Amino acid sequence: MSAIADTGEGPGSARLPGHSEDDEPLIALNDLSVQFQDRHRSVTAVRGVSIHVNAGEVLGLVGESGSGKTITALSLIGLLPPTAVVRGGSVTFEGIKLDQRGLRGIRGAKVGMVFQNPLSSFNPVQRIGTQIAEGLRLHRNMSRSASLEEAARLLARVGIPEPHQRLMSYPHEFSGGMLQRAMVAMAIACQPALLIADEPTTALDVTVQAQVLELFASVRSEYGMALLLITHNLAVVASVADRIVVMYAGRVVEEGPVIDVIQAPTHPYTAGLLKAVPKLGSTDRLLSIPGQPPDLSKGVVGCAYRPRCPISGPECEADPPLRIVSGARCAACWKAGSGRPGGVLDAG
Amino acid sequence: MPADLESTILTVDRASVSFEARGGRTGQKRVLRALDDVSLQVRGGESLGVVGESGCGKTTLARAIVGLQELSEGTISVRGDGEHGGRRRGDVQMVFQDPYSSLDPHQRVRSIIAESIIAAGLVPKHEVRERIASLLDLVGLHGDLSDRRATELSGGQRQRVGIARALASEPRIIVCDEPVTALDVSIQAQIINLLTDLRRRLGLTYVFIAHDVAVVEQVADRVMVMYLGRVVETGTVRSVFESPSHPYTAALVSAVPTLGAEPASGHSAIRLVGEPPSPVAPPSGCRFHPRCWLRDVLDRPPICSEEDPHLSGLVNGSEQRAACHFFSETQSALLAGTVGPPQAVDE
Amino acid sequence: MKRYVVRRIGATLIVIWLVSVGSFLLFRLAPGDPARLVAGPLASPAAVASIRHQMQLNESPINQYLGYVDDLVHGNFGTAWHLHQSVGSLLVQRLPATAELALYASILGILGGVLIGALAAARPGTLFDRITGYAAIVGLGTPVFWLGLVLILIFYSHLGIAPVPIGRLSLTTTPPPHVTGFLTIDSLLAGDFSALGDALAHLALPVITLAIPIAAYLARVTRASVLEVYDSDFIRTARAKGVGERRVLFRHALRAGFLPVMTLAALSIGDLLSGAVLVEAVFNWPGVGGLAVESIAAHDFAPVEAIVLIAALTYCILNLVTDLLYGVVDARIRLDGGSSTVVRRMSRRQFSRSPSGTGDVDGVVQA
Repeated sequence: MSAIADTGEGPGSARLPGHSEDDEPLIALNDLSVQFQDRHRSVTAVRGVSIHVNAGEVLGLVGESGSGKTITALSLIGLLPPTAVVRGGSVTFEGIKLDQRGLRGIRGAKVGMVFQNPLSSFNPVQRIGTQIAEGLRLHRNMSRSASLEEAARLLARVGIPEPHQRLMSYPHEFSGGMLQRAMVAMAIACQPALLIADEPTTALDVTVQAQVLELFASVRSEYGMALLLITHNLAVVASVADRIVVMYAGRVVEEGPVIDVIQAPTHPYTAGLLKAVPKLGSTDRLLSIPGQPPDLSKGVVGCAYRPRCPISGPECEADPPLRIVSGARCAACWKAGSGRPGGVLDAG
Repeated sequence: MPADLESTILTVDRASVSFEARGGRTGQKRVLRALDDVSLQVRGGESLGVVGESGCGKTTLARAIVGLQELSEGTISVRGDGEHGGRRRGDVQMVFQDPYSSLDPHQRVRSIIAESIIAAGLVPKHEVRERIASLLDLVGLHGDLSDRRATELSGGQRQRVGIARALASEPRIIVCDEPVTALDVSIQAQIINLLTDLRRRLGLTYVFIAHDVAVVEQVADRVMVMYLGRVVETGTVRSVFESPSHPYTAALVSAVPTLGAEPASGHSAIRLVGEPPSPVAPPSGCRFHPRCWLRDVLDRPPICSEEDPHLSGLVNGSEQRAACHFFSETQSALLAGTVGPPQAVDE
Repeated sequence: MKRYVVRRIGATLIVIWLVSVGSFLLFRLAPGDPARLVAGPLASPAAVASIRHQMQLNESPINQYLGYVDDLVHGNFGTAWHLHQSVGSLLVQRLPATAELALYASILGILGGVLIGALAAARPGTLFDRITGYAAIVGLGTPVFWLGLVLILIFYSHLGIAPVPIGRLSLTTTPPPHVTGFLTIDSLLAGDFSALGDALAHLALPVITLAIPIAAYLARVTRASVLEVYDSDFIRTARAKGVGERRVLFRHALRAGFLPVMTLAALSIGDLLSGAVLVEAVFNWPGVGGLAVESIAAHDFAPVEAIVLIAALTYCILNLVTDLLYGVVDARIRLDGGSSTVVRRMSRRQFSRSPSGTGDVDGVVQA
């Protein structure tokens, strides 16, 4: 990706014209808490998480496994698995609070979703064309032939050659990258205002990943869509997003404009992650974060990051709330704002 | 590091692995070349990285080196303490990609490691327990984890167990097949550091396979770039990634997203069109030519679709070699900024 | 594809042949003297001998078999000695009755079972699911003839809704002109709606009796298959598109999980024939099942052989149709071995003799 211009915004992802900072967020999740229950134990996957996406922006939601990022994203459209129990929280879309029915109403029509594994995310026994056209018939009341024609146009739009032939193909006849494009076509079919992408490029080769990210950018600028990009890959977020939200152990630990957070992280976990990512062009020893994420089936007392944190102190026995550090930046750390959480992280 | 290097201990000479695919609508037989005429040499104590994307044959190569895959042509030889100076059993070990499926989920850790120790036959029975403990220590795991079953361990812990298992037979060469791909970023860094430390401490030789270029740069001294079963570029990690001579390598490196600093390649992104063709039907001449941006820049010289380039001789005197008819043009084309938007892929 | 069908038809013929040999041998080896049984206990030895000659029992088994095959090929199924009628004409008389029963029982059983199973899978653990689950177990475990008797008891004896269970039509109804032998179709064709109503009324209980075990079985299978599919990623994708739950269930989950259901549905149609034997006895149904039972008791093997052959043929055809439909239901299955199957690694000898591989390809194989 090309170097980031010095405008304080990410490349190719600048806030699209027509949207100002003061607008109501397009979609907001307020104080969500989700537990998973089975007979033996309950796991608190998400605790008190609030995130919002503004119209036209790209929000990067970053976290490792167990951080709760996927559950958070699924909650935005009410797609939680049946074993999940929502213990609190609400979703607001364009200022209106939505219940389960309301959430179902925005799915596909106002919010499109792209998943991680394209081959398993398509119905294996249905043709691609039918699957793409389904949303069109449902939400835009198109006839069968009109919806298939539009599906072919969408396939061409996402760069799939011979779109009319491809309408009749089955998912297993596509390669990974092409199928991911087809999924994008399916998600944008009804021109939603928001596209949620859950690890869309993790299973793809890096050159294909670059193509898909470029596709996102071009589709976004054509439709003026917002993008919620969920990933564990900080570099992808750095090159694509406007804002970043970092999650750890089911909580939001840091939030802010992507350049600021990456250049000067306030939460020690963010700092640790940044130091642990291998960077092309540098062979310095990676500074890893010692230990492991906490076991969420046991209650977390105090700050969840404490066992692995190099700068923790006695006050960390109490769980730090997410507080504003400066401007548009928040962090859930008692030490935030009082000097950088640099220091020496355990090497290895 | 170069001062400690011994001479070559692993030689792969013109190795090929071909599969026969029968069937399809016409019922014809087709040949799938997973590996095509691949040669490499690894010196003792060195770490060779192998990068490439799906279908490039790197996993097939890994399996062939370890002995899990027989060759259709060519040879792989290890210079060691075995018969006729060849490989001893257990000399070459593998660390697998998926820590969740490469360990028997219900086996206890100590039993997993014990199996490998006993199979290697290097240690008398009464010393096995001690050996398990020292191996666990070596990979940074607590001794009391040896009672746990694999299902109770995290991804990072499992991968450490996998490494301990590989070390049990005192190998000289370890083939790592994407060992950190399935791990979280923070754990990935731990395992990368562990592998680097172990190499230094034990004088191991690595063949490190990954699709993540940055990870390979971290772990390897030299690197080999593969495309569609062939080697397209080799050289030191620094020279290959900083100044690639093969247009595919250049595209690969430029596609890697960075954290916001200047991209390592110093130029704008090269966008490849389409995906690698199927290994059953490789393009004529140079396999990369239908997607090659350099070919477009040079106005599509006919040799690209006619003749398959061999790995060229030395470039810059740094042992860097590329399989491209115009490898010397790559850097200048990149720096001149003449890489335009990608042309359509021609058939 | 054509090669596949031809191969399967060939296999079917072989199976039929083996079945014919098997049933032929079985009856010849059974104890009892068929000629004596036909002639009756009072017949003279000469009469028995002449009957034995007529029945060709004096020939060697191989000749008997060849004679049998020869007859078959000419459409002669032999003679039902205890009824003094050709088997062929018996079959024409009685087969449609069983077929009609089987047809409606299959439709009801399959549709009912699949629907209930799918709905149960959509609400696992709920009251509906548990009740239908227990009902299915009961339905599977209950002997079919007992079920039939109980239904007669309830609906005929106590409630008086069902007609007298003595066959396909009431004594007072004139059958419609014979076209197919299916009373419902024939009466419809003739425009005779009272006969139609009567036929349906008589069909009701036996059809329900036969359908219940099928429905129970398919309900369990469908439920399991749909439940397995329900957790799939593509179901989540469908919901993410805003598709309603009912459509998710039927258009996506059931469709994707349909293969095992289809296979077992086909097999259970085949099973109907065995169930029909008992049900026909209970309801006095003039079908092929009853004929088989009688003939066995009378050591009259010709009709039984014919029925066994028909049953085998039915199974084979059902299986063939199911297999052919596999490729239609699930596009990932290609019956001719598939274009993306890698068969084996080439040995060094093969490699040195092979041409450099080119040519177009259907599927992509990941190395």
